[in-house]
Amino acid sequence: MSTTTAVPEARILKPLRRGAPRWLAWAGYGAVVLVVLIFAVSSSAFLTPGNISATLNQAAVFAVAGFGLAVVIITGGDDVVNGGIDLSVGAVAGLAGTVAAVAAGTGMQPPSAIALALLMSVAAGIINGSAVAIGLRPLLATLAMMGIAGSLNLVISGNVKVPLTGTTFEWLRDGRVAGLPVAVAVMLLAFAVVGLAMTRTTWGIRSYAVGQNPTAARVAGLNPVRYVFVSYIISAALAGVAGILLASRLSSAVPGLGDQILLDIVLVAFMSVVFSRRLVVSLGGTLVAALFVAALTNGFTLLGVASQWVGAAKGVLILVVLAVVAVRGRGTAR
Amino acid sequence: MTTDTQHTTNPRDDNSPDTSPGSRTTPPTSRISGEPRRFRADVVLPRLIAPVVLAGILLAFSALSPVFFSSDNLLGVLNQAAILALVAIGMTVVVRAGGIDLSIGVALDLAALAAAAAIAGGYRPWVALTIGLAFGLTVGLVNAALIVLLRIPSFMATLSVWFIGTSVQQLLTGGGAPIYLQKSQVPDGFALWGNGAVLGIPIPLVFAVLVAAVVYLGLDRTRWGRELTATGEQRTASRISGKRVSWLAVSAYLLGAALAALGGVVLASRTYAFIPASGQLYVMDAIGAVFIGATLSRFGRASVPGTLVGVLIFALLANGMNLIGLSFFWQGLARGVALLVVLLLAILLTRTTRVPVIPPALRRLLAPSTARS
Amino acid sequence: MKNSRPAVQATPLALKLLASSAALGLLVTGCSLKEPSSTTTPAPAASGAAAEQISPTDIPSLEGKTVGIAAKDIVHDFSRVVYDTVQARVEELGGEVIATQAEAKENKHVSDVENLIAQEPDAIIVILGDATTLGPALEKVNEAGIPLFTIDFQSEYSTNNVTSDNWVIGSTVARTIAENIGGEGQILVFNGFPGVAPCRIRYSELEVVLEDYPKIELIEPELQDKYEGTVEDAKQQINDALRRLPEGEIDAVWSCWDIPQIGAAQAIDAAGRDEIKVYGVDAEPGALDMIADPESSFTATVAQQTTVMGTRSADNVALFLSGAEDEVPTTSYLEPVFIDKDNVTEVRSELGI
Repeated sequence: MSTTTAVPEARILKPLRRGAPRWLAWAGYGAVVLVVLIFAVSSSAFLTPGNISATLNQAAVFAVAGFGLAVVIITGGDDVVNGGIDLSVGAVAGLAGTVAAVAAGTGMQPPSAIALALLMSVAAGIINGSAVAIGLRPLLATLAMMGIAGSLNLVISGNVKVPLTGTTFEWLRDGRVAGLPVAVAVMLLAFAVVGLAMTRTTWGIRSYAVGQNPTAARVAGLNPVRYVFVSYIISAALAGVAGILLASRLSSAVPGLGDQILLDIVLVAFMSVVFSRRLVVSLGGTLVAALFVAALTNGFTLLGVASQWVGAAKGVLILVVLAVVAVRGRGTAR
Repeated sequence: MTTDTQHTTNPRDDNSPDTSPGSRTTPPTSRISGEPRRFRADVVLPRLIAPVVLAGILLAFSALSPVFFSSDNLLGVLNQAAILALVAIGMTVVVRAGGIDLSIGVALDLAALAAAAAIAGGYRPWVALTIGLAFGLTVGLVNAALIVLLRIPSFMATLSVWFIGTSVQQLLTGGGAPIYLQKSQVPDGFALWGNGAVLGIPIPLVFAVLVAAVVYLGLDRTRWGRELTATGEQRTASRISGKRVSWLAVSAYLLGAALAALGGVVLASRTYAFIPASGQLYVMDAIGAVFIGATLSRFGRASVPGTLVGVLIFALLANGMNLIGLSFFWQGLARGVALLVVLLLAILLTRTTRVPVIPPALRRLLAPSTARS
Repeated sequence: MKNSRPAVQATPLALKLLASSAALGLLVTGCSLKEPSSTTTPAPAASGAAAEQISPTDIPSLEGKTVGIAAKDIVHDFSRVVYDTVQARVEELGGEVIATQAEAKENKHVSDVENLIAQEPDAIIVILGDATTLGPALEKVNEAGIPLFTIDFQSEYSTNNVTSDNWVIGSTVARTIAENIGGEGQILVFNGFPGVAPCRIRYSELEVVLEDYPKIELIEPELQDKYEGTVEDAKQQINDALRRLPEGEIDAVWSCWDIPQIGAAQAIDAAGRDEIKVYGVDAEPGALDMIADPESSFTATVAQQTTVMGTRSADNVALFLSGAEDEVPTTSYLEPVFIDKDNVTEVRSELGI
């Protein structure tokens, strides 16, 4: 497709923080490298293949769901009150796991059970997308969906842990693809597919345009609502994938799981800002953020730091990088 | 996410009403000047949705449960809703100033922690209140510093503070040990705040009503309120100096945290304890209530009366569902659907007067893309 | 970096902060900040420090050994005290501790166990959890050749499980309720956490006992048990339930742990519905205070010997690692202590809780 939108490339790629010096774009990565170095020096166990594989595995669920949330934020704009956000990702992931487990428990073939779970997720995404397309604030539409999906999760599971057994799910948990744990392979696949779609297809580039400046996008003849609508379906579908991975990992669907993982998914998606050259939410950044958060938890355990500090460390790191950028960028920004 | 979202015009805040995703805070001037109002209906109807739903809830549960519409029960519900009301009013101020505060739960928890620890340590009630408010205000100060001084977007800043605050709370309590207060050793002056009554009206409710009245007057009847609204809705407006804008934002985050902290002290008094991570429960409900309330305004503006309607919808719904014996399995579903219905109706009613059959957003969705190659 | 040792110093830290800010206030106002009459309450959460030294002296040393500890959560007294005493005991025996706690998140609990395996400790102790969810992770522990010890849940890979006899706790509480309410009536139940093994067992035992009391019914719907904001939430739910079910329609309230029952008893006491009796498990200090109050509806709870459980588990690790495998049973049961209004004061001083 040789579409040239009237949104000039320069407009899309314009650095949002004009005053920020170039090196600051790497501040986030600098922090990661520093922390990883500290861990590697302090603990001989950190860089062992087994530990790396376990850490990647732990990151997979949050990364996959985080990609979906990142797409929503990219397409909807990053103003949180009015822009794109999907608070239902955790609950939808939990619901997908429960649907798969209950369906598999009734004797359904695993592929069908997984398909059913993903279908359920996509349905949630369609409701989210429609509500937002009609004009609801994403924050509210997805808050409502969070309650609905969480409730359905209780209804379907009867508030009981539903065991998830069978070779397919065991393969999802313990299997390997090209030497990588399946969950990690799924994460990389999702990253490749969604990443390419967002940066290499017309649809993806237009999604960016819509998120950055809907007025300009509309002037260019784009229909922002269509892109926003699709972004919620992508988000819900990826949440569903994450939910199935998580249920496989836990060998069971756990009611109330959605509430446990929501905040960490939101965290990795927004933390991606720190790992983006232009300080915007990005897929690559989400991947790095998910890996970093998992490495942080893992490293703290290896160093024997009480887990009470992990939350603070995540928060402080984001703030430090953002603050450095903000302070440095101020001189010329105003 | 740009770090200066807070200080530039949001590019999506354009003034073509049929494409802006619904009830976002559109600056009043653009809406009024850009589009002459022909139908009163499209202005009035959507604003009535939330109150009508509230009335509907009252009617439905009155019919379904014999005890629902009794003064005893209604007073009980109001009392239960008082803490959420305090927190949500704080959130209203922050949203009015153009931000959002995800850390109110942390402010509430730290205030409850400090107040309970003070009482456990034998301090006087007013000391407990002061220390509680001080802990809560510290959270507000950190938020204000991050958002105003360092210009970190409010969502990111308060999300980070949420994480940090949860850690702080765990570190202060050995990983999350509750603090229990023995009823017999809690001074009456402290127990009253959560459990007492004045002329038959529970004191938490008195707090909520007083705070609501003061904040309402402050936001809608004073220069501070007008300027706060203006900074929230038209950040680039030149009629307020940059310095003043900063102070207004600081005041909003401090007030938000202080009200959450007051809620925390009341909670500690009410439960005779500090239970870790109690504040989290209020964050999402407060956000929901504020934005349900925003449908009462023609400009989608958060307001105290609107927020109270939102709080009442949540509280009465929860109470009513419990009274008719609906299993908690279904309660989240009912709440979610109610929330969706209120907000969607508000939007659809705004639209129907203009486009009777299919809402324009949906029509555009179904229509082929107009993008040209 | 040093291993963490949170709980013991933590509350004092909070109090120190308070004291300093209060002292500041004192300077400014110049009047007494303290309640004049109050007999100062004992510092909360100090209970974790006082591990009972009941273990025999011939426990082998853990010198040079590292023990990984993964706790599901430390938000209630049971798990926190166990978590603290295990650590204290391992260090007392000269061992090194790597401690993690999962903030009640299933996923983090699994990750914590995996992260511990990477450390190649000499033994891993897992406090609370669920054999289903943790199964694969525990299998990895087994494959890595690390002896696994569990506290309060059974696993096929566990060398030793230290636990209260939850079947006894469940059935005794159930029988006590049934007898106290005269063999007929209605019980309001908080639907516990079916994923938490002790809760599931206690609930099943309740149902088993009630098979023989056909005149006792569990009230539908059951109430929701939450992990966050538990007391206030339970209080609101009970308030609503009290209005829905007038006098005579509730005889007892059951939950698999104490924290929601604190809120429940507060609501019932405030409403003056003294015909209702409240039963919990875990002997949370807040619950014990209420049981000790003759006016309160909180009737009974069950103390688990948490400090002994922590110590016993660490001792079993030491015995096992020193080669005394025969002395480590598959399960070490610890007698639960049933507490009601009659014996509460004496049990508290006895157990130091």
